Amino acid sequence: MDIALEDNDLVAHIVATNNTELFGLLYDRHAPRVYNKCLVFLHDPMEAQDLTHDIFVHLFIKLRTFKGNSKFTTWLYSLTYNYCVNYVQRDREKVHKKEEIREDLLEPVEGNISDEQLFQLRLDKIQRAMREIAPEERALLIMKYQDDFSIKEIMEALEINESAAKMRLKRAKSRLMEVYNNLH
Amino acid sequence: MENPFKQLLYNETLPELIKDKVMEDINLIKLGLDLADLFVVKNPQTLGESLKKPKK
Repeated sequence: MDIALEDNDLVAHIVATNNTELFGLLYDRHAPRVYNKCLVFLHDPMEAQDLTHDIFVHLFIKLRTFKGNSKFTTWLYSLTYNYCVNYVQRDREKVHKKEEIREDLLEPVEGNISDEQLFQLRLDKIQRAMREIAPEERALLIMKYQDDFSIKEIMEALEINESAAKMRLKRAKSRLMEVYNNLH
Repeated sequence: MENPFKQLLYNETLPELIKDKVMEDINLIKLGLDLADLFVVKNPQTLGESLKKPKK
């Protein structure tokens, strides 16, 4: 098997044959990045390693649902963020009953923070602020500003409509700025 | 202007042991899928074929 296969072709081969050796190749290509993305949500390396394991086992089963409409990494990172957010929220839900987000019931966010404003922020303070905001807001900002997801890709990753995606992004930026400005 | 979010990524090494565990688990899953395929798809087909009336 040609190890230089593009991700989409490699995935197609794995789905067709259930070949675990090929899956090992896919793991080698992407597990280090997935692990480091898990560390954005979980600061304990052991916990992030366990989650990386779970994500890849889940990926083996879920792989046949990848239709190749987007880049494989976009699809994989969406899966990773959803997995991480659900994992972190599971603990929170033990304390607080799950609240469904209803965009129409949330107060509108005033003003719009531009990308230029965000890019002027200090890295060390962004890191601290990111730890303070909700995991779903963190995931959204990482999708948009680290992985360059388009609004359409965010809509697909979170299974929400366009206005909800834009509103959540606006809210996440506003929340980050709020926390950032209150840091000492 | 440089995007600081691009530098937010960690650069930690994932232990090789995790790959071993993943491969062990997916091999078990594959075995389950193969067995399910054998008993749910292939065996009934074989049984169905053997129970068909022979053509005259």
